[in-house]
Order: sequence, then structure tokens, then C-alpha cells
Amino acid sequence: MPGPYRRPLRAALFRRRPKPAQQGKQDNNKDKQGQPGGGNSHTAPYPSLEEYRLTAELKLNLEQLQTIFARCSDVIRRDFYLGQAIKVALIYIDGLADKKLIEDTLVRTLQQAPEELARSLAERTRDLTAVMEMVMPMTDVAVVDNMGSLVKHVLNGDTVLILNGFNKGLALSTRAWEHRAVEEPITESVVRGPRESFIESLRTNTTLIRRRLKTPSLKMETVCLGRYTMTNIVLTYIEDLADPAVVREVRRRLESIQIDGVLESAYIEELIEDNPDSPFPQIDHTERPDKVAAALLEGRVGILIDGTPFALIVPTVFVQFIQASEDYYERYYLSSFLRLARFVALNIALLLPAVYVAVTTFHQEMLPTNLLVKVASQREGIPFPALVEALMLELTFELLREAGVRLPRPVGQALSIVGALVIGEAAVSASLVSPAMVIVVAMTGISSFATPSYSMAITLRLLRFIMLILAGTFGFYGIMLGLLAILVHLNTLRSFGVPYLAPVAPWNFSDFKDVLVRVPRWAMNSRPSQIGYRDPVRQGAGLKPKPPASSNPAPERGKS
Amino acid sequence: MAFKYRSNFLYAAFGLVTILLAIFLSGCWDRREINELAFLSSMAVDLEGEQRLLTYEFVRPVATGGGEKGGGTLNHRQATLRSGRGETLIDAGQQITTGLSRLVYLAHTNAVLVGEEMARRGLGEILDFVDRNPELRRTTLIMVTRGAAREVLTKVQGDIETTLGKEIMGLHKWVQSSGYGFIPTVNDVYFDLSSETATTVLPVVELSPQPFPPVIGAGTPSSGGGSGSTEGRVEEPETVRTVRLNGAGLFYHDKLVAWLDADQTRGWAWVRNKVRRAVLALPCQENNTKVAVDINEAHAEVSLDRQGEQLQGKIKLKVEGILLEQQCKLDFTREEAVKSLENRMAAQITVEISSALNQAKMAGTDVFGFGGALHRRYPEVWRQLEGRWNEEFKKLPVTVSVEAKLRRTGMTGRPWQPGAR
Repeated sequence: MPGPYRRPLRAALFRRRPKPAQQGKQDNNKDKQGQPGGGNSHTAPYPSLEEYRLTAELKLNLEQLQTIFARCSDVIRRDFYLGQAIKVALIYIDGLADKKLIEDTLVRTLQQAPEELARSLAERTRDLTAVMEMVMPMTDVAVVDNMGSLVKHVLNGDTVLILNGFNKGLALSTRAWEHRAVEEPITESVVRGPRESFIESLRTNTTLIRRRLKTPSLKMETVCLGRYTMTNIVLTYIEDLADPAVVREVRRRLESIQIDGVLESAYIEELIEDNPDSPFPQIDHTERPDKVAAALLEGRVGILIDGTPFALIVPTVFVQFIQASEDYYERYYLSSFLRLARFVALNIALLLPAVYVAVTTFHQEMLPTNLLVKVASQREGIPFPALVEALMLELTFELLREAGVRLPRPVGQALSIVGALVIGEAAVSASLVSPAMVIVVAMTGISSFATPSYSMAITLRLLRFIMLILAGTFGFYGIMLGLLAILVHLNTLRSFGVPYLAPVAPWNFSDFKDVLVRVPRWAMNSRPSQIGYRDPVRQGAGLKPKPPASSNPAPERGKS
Repeated sequence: MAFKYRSNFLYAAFGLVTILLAIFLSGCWDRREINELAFLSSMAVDLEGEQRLLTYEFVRPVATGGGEKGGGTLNHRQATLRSGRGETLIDAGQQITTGLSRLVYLAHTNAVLVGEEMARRGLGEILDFVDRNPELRRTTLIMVTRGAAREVLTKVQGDIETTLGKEIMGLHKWVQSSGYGFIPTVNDVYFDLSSETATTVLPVVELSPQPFPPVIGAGTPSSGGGSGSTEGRVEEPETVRTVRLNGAGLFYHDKLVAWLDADQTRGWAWVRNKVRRAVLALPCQENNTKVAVDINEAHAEVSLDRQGEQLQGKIKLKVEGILLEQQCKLDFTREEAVKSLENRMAAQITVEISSALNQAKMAGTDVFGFGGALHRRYPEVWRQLEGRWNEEFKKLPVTVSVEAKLRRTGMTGRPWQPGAR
């Protein structure tokens, strides 16, 4: 449990709203905004604007707004007469709201509203809803009746219309801002498969999922996190498939977050994972909508965060990190082979330098004689112990990689040349490192890139150093101790109630269809038993395609 | 809460103890860098008076530094020799360490050469040394030399492999396809010596001078690699001393008692199923021409019969071969030519076997395994004869029957005839 929420020093000014229930009522028809339904005081993350009240006096309201949005040069206010009879004001933020829509449609329509309506509004014979019913050219309209929610609407890109004589306003959804186009996923590219990727705009992301799952069972609950960022977070799941307990737990963990800002999915990931002390990632992330859709179909829960193209998937088990979405789009033989290869790569990435060091410093008898002589003659004249040599090279590799990631691309290329030529070639010819060690480190590097999940790869990269030191001090015995420790640790992990090593431990044979190999689609009849147990049957039995009974009908006699 | 803290403390303490135990109970900490070790490739054991003379051949790793530079170096022996003397083998080994800057590492020892004198004294201590040492393996190859083993180990130059140990490993792998040789491991020898007859046969390794092609422009004195370094351009081929297998030594218990020559060795090898392939050169009909047959299948059975009190040894051998070459002009599409060739094959093999058998009988060591056959067939007779089987074997009549088959005549049938179409 995180510690008690510390209020900012200006707490006197921004006091918490006492009654969130009151707030919820007005926002019901406009749930894009999505208030955390909790009702705990700390779930109102936005500084309260209680000092301010919407009044019937337009002038007063505008003055208050002036104070609230003081020194906000991007807030635009526009006063005009509705139907030449009643004075109204529009407030929106330049860049967040669709200016063209406001100018071409909204303002014009309102100005040309029937005079009779305007007069009746001014005389209070008609309610605000009449505006909505009779002249409003938009569908997504909500009534706001307090300053707090008015300000929130404006900040979210809506346009708020306030009429003179009403202590209510109308929030019109005019959200449209610059964002990246939907492009090919950068971190998870495929040869075959959909090439759409999530982008930084939450609404686009939810659309990408909704377009793949056209069912009312696909639920998208919104949670708003971040006191200042007011980041919308969508909790998405298929109601018939997802375990309600998991959904409840995800919702609970999300709602208990109190933070000033959420800028990336990692903020959420770190705040909701089961074992925060573990080096292993317990929540998978992806920027592929098809991967999220597939996860939802298995009964998992997706978490989309506004402002980042990465979505989280819970519960996550270990094998998910060696599954790539392309596994399901290529022929299953190849997919199975690649998955086994990835498994080997995972082990190489973790263990190869350690095994090399252990063999050359402890267990020379395990090498074939010819290999041993080769290795020995390579090590001849190397001034460092094998462990130091390995650590040095590994560190160099890590630094090169890190520098290559951070640098702009053209510089990165120069860097890789320096790395490959200078470090690799020169260090070997200067007899500072042995060629075999360079090969080992290169193999390890390649293998760690072969893991589809970057987060798992970096975990292994870190553990590799620990294994290396264990191997350098205790040989294979140390490696086994390290592996045992990792295994025990992995066994203790859980992700939202699902054991991390499922289906290996606890053993479930039927779930092995998607672990080491990927069985053909027509044999994937059931959902993962730990996750999609509510509706285990995924498809009809006997889907394996067959040729028709007789593909060449016998020619009929008598006809030619 | 207090309970929780206490259990946390217990967990921490338990974890700490576990880790400490795991670290310190692991036994000996034997970290050693690969280039702090001297890898033993082969060793020679000799007897000098009452002293054991141990000669080690170490691999001398050549620093390859910046990759393979300047190829075409002489592939001469890259080995370092050290020898030590002592009352026991370990003693002698200890003496070697006093003059070596690296740790002696025995796990990669490929071969043990036993000198003649040592072999006559007995293999026992060598076998024990190999078996008892945790680094040495029972897969080490073992063989004897005529004269001192040290001579072979120090004088051999080698040309294909870099150490004698590797050379012998290669021989071990491929020599059986000639039929003339075999190299047993220490384990095989243990196995043989634990059988009923407690006899074994070890191959003899000897030096064999071979020409080595002269190196063009090898004027620098740095070349030569051990052979009499010649100044300037070498025109004549150098002579390089390599090793080869030639014959075998017969052991009764663990003591060398007699020698077999090369043909007799093959005679023995037929019976003990050690021949994988062999080439028989058989006389053709006319004027001293020969026919060569490649035997690719040979299976022998040793058995013993009893008629009354008389024991009768039987060796049954089935071989199959392929015609490889002929100097005469026999037409092997005709059956009688094949039949007569098969008879000659059988005859030659019988001669080889009988020769080896006679040698073994004279030495009184049952290396053919008749004792084992008797034990399996007539256990009660064996129990009576067990003590003096040595003598019984000397007068055991043995019949050798060889069944030879010619399976193919190579890629052609009829030989070339002038003008024949």
C-alpha cells in the first residue's frame, strides 16, 4: 500500500470536492470523461475549483473563467448573440478543439437560431435543453452545472457554451488535435499480419480495438489518473470471457493509484504489478492492436493509456514473452520451430558467457581436447582472467548498444563502426581479449535481440551479469545455484492471480498447445485454462479442413 | 506486527545461512585459468632399475593473437617434454612439477606409452595410477613400445598432428580399418584382465621415418622445427620420424610375455572381432601376380567342445569381401574363379590365425578367450582347470574354419582383354 496522499501546499485553494456523487450525476451522459466511480476522496485527482460557482450572470461567469484561465494564452473565448437575442459565450482551447467545426458550423448555426427560441430563452420560458433539441448541430453534448466540470471539459478539448441567464453550460465535444497517423508498429514489426500500430491518441487506440472486436461485450471502462495530467485510462475486456475477479482487481489497483501524472504505460505497470521487487516483467505491453484483441479473446484484460502507443495486457505469464504475434500468422511448423529457437536464444542470452567462463576456468575437462587446445592457444598471452575479460566485453557491448539506442541515427552508424572495428578487431589483435570471447559476446547479443519482448530481454541482460559473476567464482555450481534461485523466484511470481510459470507450473497439458510449439489453429480449441476458464471452448471441434470426399466426380456414362 | 517482523528476521536469517552453506560447503574451490594449465597430451612410463621414469608430453599452445597470420607454417610438433624420476609414478610426477611454470592438467591425456621393461614388470601400477587419479580417465589409450617408451615419445616429430597424443587418438579411430592394429583404452585392458583368462594384448607403437617434402625458400634458421636445421634452400626431402603401429605384445596377467608381428596381430584381431576392414593380397594363378580383396565384414566365434576328456577348441570365422584389384586376367563372372578365390582367402586368413595361435600357445597366454568359452560352456570343467589353464591352453588342439565369401567384384565384371569386345 502506498503511503497517504500528500496534499500540495496550495491545498487550501484547491480543496477536494466533498461529494463526488453529485459530480457523477451530471457527467453520466458524457462518460468519455470517465470519473473513477470510487467515491473515495483521494480518487478526485483534479484540484478542486470549489471556490468558483456557475451563476446565472454570464458576465460573472466569464470573470471567474478569466481568473481560472489567467495567463493561459491558448484558451479562446468568443461572445456572440444566439438568435440575436441572448448573449452567449464559447470557450475552448486552441489546438485541442476543432476550430473549423466551431467556426463553420457551431457559431453560424447558433447565430442564425430562430429569434423566437432566443427570446423564449431570454425570458426563461424555455429550458436549456431546448437549445440542444432545436438548434444544436452536434450530437455529443452534455450539460455542465459546476465550474469544475466545465473547466475539465474545456481542458479536454470540448467547447463549452454558456448562456446568459443560466447557471448551466453546454459542453460540446469538439475534440480534434494533432496526432501521429496510424503507422506500422516499430517495436513489433511483422512480415505477415496487420501493420497498424497504436498511437498516442487514446480514442484512436480504442477504435483500433473496437474495429477488431465488433461486439457489445467488449467493454471499455475509463479511469482518469494523474492529478495534473488527467490521463484517461481505458480498461478493456470482453465481458463474457474475462474473469470478473481479475477485472475487479485491475480496477481496484488502478483506482488506488494517486499520482501527479501518467506519461507512459510503464507508470501504470510499475504501480499495479504483483511483485514490484522482481526483475521480471509481470505485465506485457504491446503496440499492436491485433495482439491486444487476441489477448482479450483469451480472456485477458487490456489497459490503454492516453498519450502512449503502448497498451498493457494482464494477466501475463512467462511464456508470453517468447510468443510473437507473427507466430499465429505463419505456418505452424515454422512458428513452432521459431519458438523453440527463441527458447534456445533465451537460454543463450542468459547463460552463454557464464558457461564459457565456467568451462574455461573450472571445468576444462568438459571440453573436447581439440577445442580446449584452440581455446587455450587463443587465451595465450591474454593478460586478464576469463571472468574479467567477459565482464569487460559484455560491458562494452552494453555501452555500445546503449549509445546506439540514444544517439541520432547517423551518429549511431558511426558508433557501430567504431564498436565493431575498433573494439572488436583492435582488442583482439592487441591480445587484450580472445577471439572466442568476442564470438561468445556477439552470440549473446544476437540471442538477446531474438527475444521478442524487449522488457524480458533487458531482464535477462541484467541477470546475465549476475550469472557471469557466479560462474566466475563458483563455476557450474554457481550457475546452478543462480538458476535455482531464478527458478524459485519465478515460481513465487503471480500476475493478477495467475501463476507466472503457468502452464508449466502448475502443470496443465492442454495449455501446452501454445508454449513450446504453436499447434495449428484448428487444434486450438480451448482458451488458456487459467485465464479464459469462463468460456473454455474457443471454436467448434473438428475444424481440421479435409478435401471433399471425391474431388473428381466420376464422369457420367453416356455423356461425352 | 511483531510477529511479522520476527518472521521476516527468521526468513532473512534462514536465507543467509542457506547462501553461506551453499557457498562454503561446495568443496574444493578449484578456479584456474585455462592459460595457467599445462595440458598433458601423452605420457611414457619406463623402468630404470628400480626407478620409475615418467615422461610427460604437454601441449604447447601457440599464441594465435591477432588471428591466423602467416599461414603455411610447418605443422611440426607443438609439444613440450618434461621427465621425472621417482620411486613411484606419483613421485616421478611430482618431480616434473618442480620444473614447470604451470599446473599439470591430466584430464586431457590421450595416451599412455609403456616401455618394454615396465611392461615386463607389470602394468598393474600404471592401471592403478590412471584409475585412481580423479583427473585421468579410463578412456586413455594404452600401448607398449619395444625398448624404452621414452625413446618414442621424445624422438617422434610428427607431421599431421601437433602432439603424439593427438596422433595416437587419430590412429585409434582409423587403424582398425586396416585390420593390422587396434588401440585399447585403459578400460578395455581392465576388462580383459578381469576376464577368466586375465590376459590382454597391447599394440606396439614404434618410430617410422618418413620423407617430408622440402620447404621452398626455407632459408631462415628459424624454420626446421627440430629436424636438423639446414641452411639455405633444401633440395632433398627431410626425414621426419612419425609413429606407426607394428605388431603387439602378449600379456599374461599384467606382464608382457611375448610379441606378435604385424600379420600375427591381424590373425589375433580376426578372432577377437577387432577387424573392421582389411585387405588381403592373394596370389593369382600365374607368375607371381596378385589379387587384392577388401574384407568389409568379419565375424568370429570362439567355442570349445568336449569329447570325453579331450577338449577341442574351435574358431569359426565368417568374412565377406569385395574384389578391389587384380594383376592377372581372371574372369570373375565365372563361378569357379570366385570359388577358388574364396578358398584362397580362407586359406590366407587361416594361416594368419594359426600363426598367432602358435605364438600365444608358446607363450602360454590364452588371448583368444578359450578360457571364457570353456567357462560358459562347461563351468564345472573350468572350475577344475582354472588353476592350470595356462598349461592346458598350451596343448589345446584348435581347429580353425574360415568361411569366406566374395560379394562383389567391384564396378566391372570381366577384366580387360586386348581386342576383346
